[in-house]
Amino acid sequence: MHQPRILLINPPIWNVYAPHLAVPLLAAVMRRHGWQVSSLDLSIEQTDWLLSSEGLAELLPKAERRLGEIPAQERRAHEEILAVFGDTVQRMDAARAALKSRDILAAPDAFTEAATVVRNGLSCVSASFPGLKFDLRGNFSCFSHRRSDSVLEAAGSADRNVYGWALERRPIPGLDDADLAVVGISVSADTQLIAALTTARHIKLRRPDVHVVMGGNLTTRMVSRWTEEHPFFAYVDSFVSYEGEDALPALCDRITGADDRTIPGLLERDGRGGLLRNPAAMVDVSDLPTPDFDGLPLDRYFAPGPVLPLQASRSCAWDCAFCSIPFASNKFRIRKPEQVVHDMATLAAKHGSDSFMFVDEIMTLTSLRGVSRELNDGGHDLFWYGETRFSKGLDDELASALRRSGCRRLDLGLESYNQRVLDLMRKGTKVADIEPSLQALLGNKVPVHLFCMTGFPGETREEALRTQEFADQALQRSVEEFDVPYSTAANGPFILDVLSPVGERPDLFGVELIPPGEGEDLAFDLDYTVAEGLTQQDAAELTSGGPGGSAGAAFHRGTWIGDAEEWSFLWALAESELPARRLTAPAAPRLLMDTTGVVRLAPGVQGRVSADGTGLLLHVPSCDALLDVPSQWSPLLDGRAHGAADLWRAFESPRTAAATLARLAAHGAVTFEAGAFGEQEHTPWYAAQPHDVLDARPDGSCLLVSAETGQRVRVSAAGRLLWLLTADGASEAELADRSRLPAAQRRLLLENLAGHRVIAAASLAPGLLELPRVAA
Amino acid sequence: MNLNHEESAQELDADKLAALAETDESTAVEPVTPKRANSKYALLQDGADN
Repeated sequence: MHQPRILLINPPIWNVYAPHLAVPLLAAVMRRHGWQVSSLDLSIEQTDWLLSSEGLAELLPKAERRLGEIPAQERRAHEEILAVFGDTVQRMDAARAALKSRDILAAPDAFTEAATVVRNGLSCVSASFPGLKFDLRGNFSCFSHRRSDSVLEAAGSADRNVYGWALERRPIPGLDDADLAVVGISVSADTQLIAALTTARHIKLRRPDVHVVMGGNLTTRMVSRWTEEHPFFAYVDSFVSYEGEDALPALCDRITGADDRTIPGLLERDGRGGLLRNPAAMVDVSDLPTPDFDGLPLDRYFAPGPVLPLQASRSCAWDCAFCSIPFASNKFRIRKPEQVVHDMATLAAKHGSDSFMFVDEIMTLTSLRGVSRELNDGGHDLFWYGETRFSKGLDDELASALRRSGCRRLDLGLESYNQRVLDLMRKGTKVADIEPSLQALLGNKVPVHLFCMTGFPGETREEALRTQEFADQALQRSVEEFDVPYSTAANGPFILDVLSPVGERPDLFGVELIPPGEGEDLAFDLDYTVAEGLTQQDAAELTSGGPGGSAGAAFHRGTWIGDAEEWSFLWALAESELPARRLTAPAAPRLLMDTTGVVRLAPGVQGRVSADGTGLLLHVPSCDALLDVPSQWSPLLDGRAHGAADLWRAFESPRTAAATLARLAAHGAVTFEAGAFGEQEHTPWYAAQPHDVLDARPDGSCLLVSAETGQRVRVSAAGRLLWLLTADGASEAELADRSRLPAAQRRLLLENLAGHRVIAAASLAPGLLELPRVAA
Repeated sequence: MNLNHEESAQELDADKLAALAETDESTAVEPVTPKRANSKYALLQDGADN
């Protein structure tokens, strides 16, 4: 007898570094129920294709067309991305392959190079759609996930909606299968909602007979608001609140006529414009089978795992005032540790993976003790990480057991290092317990991640800064005192979730909610004002990452995948050398040039003349620099050698030409032959690289931020002075005269500034600075 | 090409900077890495990137 088929889908965008657990959990339940199951992680399938050479090559003409459609003030950023597009298409497949191989953990430079290509690829995808910021986290676009009408508009747009565009080119496979009876779409986060409705529409247009059901955490939040039939029913037949493991088999049995038992948490139309809603029920997590990852592309995630997700418990045992997890996750339940370790061993044997992430909202001491004990007693050689909180029981004995059991990272909800704020949050943590737990973990070589929160209502600036200082010092001590370089921290602003205790009773927290914007029926976080303490704006500023965050060419501002927790865990597991965030390009040969010398573009350098014809954008892959030079240099785009004398004729000022050539050479953008030039005839010459001055202080020091590379350096007054004096190029003698710095200090500073490409150093024949007249 | 020197000159011209540099013996050029701005709460925001 033919068994019906269910297709389970995880829509984008969700974590692209590891699978989501929802589909494997439901797949295991449905296979146990006797159904055929197809699992589709559309999040990784689409992302991996969009970020492939093939996907990007299909996007390139679309991005080129957009240049003529966008407002004038956005064209510059768009052109910057177009300048890097071709190089990214060529290198993306090699970069993706590198990032998915375990060898990368022992090759930090290769990681930096591959991560740089991926980051540029994200910008290329973004540039292909209006308003899109394709960043693997939110992928925010010109459509709003806070408005039902905008979500539905997006679902019907293949031109402006990246997910719709990708589905048109890569349709969901197997939709013509006659056995297909049900499609389940899991929507955990608001970042998935637009793609979820786009996917539901895609399916309904092709298979109107198939029942489409939507569930997940966001679905639970969303449908709790509905009092009448919602427009999403155009593409979705039913919704399931809370957990799906009991509801989905019951729904499928009803659809096939096998059974008509109550379906917990089901929401349907009543056919008269109203809704039929069943109460939810709690799943017995000890009765669940091992999650089933069959059918998921475990080799396509953007980290060399697979790092497989598991749960040792469900929901959360605490009731923190800022959090709504208890609202959408039912009551707290623990899965037996022996079952959890059985899950791990089963999956390790099946998939050849030794690494796991516990995606519990929070692992209690009971789970941590039980899982580590079972792993240690069983002699398993597995690695894992999870999330917990500071508490008295997180002591040396437990930390030692955790390390021996393969724990290579613990994420800790620190939130604040102030007892008063922790009490306001109802966090239930004692500040006095934090330091002993931290020492126990780091002393046993378990790296930590500290989640900090800034701006909880009533928190003062001093309290927020105290938390930041504690986190900074903890990371420093992790490296210097405990020799654990893998600890990390993140500081996020307080987000007012309307379903959290603060959102439910803002008056108890000195908060006044600002109503959502017109039509924002799906807004679950709201703006707010406070009676005292940090404002919402203060919190945003204090967590913005410090001064100078927005400098650099448009593609430099993308997501750095090394920030993903999976990568921190894998580097700790492999005890790797940590990679740099920026490419360290090999030092370019110092420019030697005279009036008979020739220059040409270096291999791999690509350029484009700006649409208004005023400048030339050159991308140098070896250092990921985007150089903006006058259009007089455009003859170089033919790739041939050009005489300096010929190039100089286009310039009014030989110093401008010399300074630009020095800058190009310092970035490795050009190669050169110096003709008959002799070392004894040279003039040491320096030219500033373009930088923004930020965080200028009264002592003259400042942050210099390169718009070309995104690099940021701090210099004192002397360094800043030399950079300023080389604006139009300057010889060593001129700098000695104008800076009045001692010779030894000046030379060392010039060397250091040149080493960091803050200025370019060159050796020029004197005649080169007179060339236009000489040539004439 | 905008080297941004004009903007910095408005704030501190070369003479003023040279005066400050007279007591500055530093030869350091220190790379600065931005702090991570992401967090588990970031998904709910249209947040700015670092």
